[in-house]
Amino acid sequence: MSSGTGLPVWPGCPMMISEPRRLHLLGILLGAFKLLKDFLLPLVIFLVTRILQRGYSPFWLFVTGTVIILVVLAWGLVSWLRFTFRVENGALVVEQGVLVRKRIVIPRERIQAIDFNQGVWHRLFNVVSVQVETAGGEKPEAILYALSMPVARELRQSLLLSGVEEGRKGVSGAAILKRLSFKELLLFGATSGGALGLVVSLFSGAWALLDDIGLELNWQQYVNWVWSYVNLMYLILFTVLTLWLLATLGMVFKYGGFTLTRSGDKLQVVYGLLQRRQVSIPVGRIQAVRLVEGVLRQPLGCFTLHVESAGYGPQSHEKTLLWPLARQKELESLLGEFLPEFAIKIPLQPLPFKAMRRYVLRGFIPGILLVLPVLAWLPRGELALALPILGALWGFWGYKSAGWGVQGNMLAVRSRSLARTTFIVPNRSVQSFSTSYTIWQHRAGFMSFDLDLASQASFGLTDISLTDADTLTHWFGQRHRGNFDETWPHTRDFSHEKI
Amino acid sequence: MRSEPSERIDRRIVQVWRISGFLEALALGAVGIGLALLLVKLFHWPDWVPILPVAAVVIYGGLEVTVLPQLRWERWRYQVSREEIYLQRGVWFIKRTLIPMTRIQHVDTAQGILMRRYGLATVNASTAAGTHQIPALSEEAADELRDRIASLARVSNDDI
Repeated sequence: MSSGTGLPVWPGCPMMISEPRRLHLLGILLGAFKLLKDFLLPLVIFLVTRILQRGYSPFWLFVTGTVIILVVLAWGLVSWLRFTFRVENGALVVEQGVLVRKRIVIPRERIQAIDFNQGVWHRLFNVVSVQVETAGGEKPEAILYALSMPVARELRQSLLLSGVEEGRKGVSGAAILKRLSFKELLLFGATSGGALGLVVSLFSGAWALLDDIGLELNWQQYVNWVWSYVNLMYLILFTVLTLWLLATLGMVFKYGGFTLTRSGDKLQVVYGLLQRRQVSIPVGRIQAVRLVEGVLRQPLGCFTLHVESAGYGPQSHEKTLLWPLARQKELESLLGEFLPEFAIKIPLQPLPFKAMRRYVLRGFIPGILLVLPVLAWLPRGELALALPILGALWGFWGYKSAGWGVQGNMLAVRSRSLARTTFIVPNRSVQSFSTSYTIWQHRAGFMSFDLDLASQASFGLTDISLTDADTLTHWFGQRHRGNFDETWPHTRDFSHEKI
Repeated sequence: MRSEPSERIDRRIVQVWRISGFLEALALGAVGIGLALLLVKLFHWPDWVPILPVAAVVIYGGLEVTVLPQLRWERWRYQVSREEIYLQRGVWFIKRTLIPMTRIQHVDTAQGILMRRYGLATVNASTAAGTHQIPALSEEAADELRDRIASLARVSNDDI
């Protein structure tokens, strides 16, 4: 842990958690809250029906309230008493459960990442909830829901860092740290998909409304009509703006104080103004890097940087966020400083020109098929033609965005569904590699390829030329046949990570 | 382009696919016709509506019982070398997959009722990203292949 970011190191505590330990006392309260939350709905239903049927007296309310609070607290206490953890033979051992006893053993080598979360309660007492992630599965393997900060750090230290690394730490360098500026944070919030979604849905609603009333009118009347409804327009505009601001504000609270640290072979991300989250990922466990240029962000030359880690399933999008917003020209320095393993310039080559027609048609044909019945049966159906045209444009856009490149053992693949996404993946992270084609596609001289990663991510491109498919197959074959030339800047020794 | 994988899967699978395809078509047909009849009776859709699922099932089932299993079998190839598993499959959409031995986490064999009657078994090889199947080998061949993959995977171990 870098010395700059937080508390001083726990003074008299050696690196040993071999004895079973309990959680922080706050755990009792948190356990009680959790029970209350889980049973809130049945409880409310019970109380409401009871009151509706028989009325209530202050005495009854008092007694019921006390009983509920006592039961809940007792549960919190018992589950706290039953919850112990220790580090034994290089494995985290957690024992928990009141009705069903459960023992979780996680060997250190299997840990993909360790996250700290702090809700408001946690922050008051300087306590964290520690989540241990292993490969596979959507949920964290173990959650230690209340640990005092020093203990949590000690635990993370003893689980993430091997002895070798401890020795090297002093040598291999000071931690480097980068904070997201408030301006960037604001821009990130303002261009987030959430806000876009809200605005778009509202706009389309308003559009439908205008469509309903306005289309019959000629221009003169139309202008008059707009003028008479100008208040309404302001109202709509105002609502849209408010929602957008709210969404932005939400993002600001969620990602405020975003800080990225690299110390030794560990990356750490901290963010959140109210609920504070801290994600630690060993660099050796990063499968690939993903650059996402959102529709709103790309015109501003901005992108978001994610990592692919086997500890998180495809659903936990936010947890794999490494850096929320950076300019295109910052990419090199950002990767160079924090992930030199992936900082490699890979020139991308576009798809063959002949593939353009195929991409455009792939957007156009489903659109026209959808629209045909509308054209035939609805009056003024020709408006619906916008759909296939949009589809064709979307296809063209996808074609323009697509590209790939190989440099040493690194592969870069860029494609677009809506946001333009670039994967940078080292050969060793690829779990399986497929090429595929339909008979027509093959006749036209094209193939597709896709790769699967341990993070459950899967990506590839449609319509590359046959020779390029061969190049890629060959690239993939290189490493596991062992005649690979070590060209990427992988000079650090990560061998201890791959136990 | 790299040549096809060398090994074919067991020829008897064609028969298994025919039977399972037929049964699947029957089941789908029953559901489809049931739904269609419901629409006709309850919502007064035109009387010819139930013909549609029947036609669809006849076409689909017909293909599944006649040509498709044969074509599928002809395309299905696999090859297990020291470094990798190489698979090819698909009738219209043809897909070739390479799985390095170093990525195999576990391997098992499995048999359904039909497969057992014909003395066939499937080999499943799992990586951290998902499971890959070699769908039909004779029981002995499947067991032998499973053990071979397991020992090859053990030799070339490497963490994710």
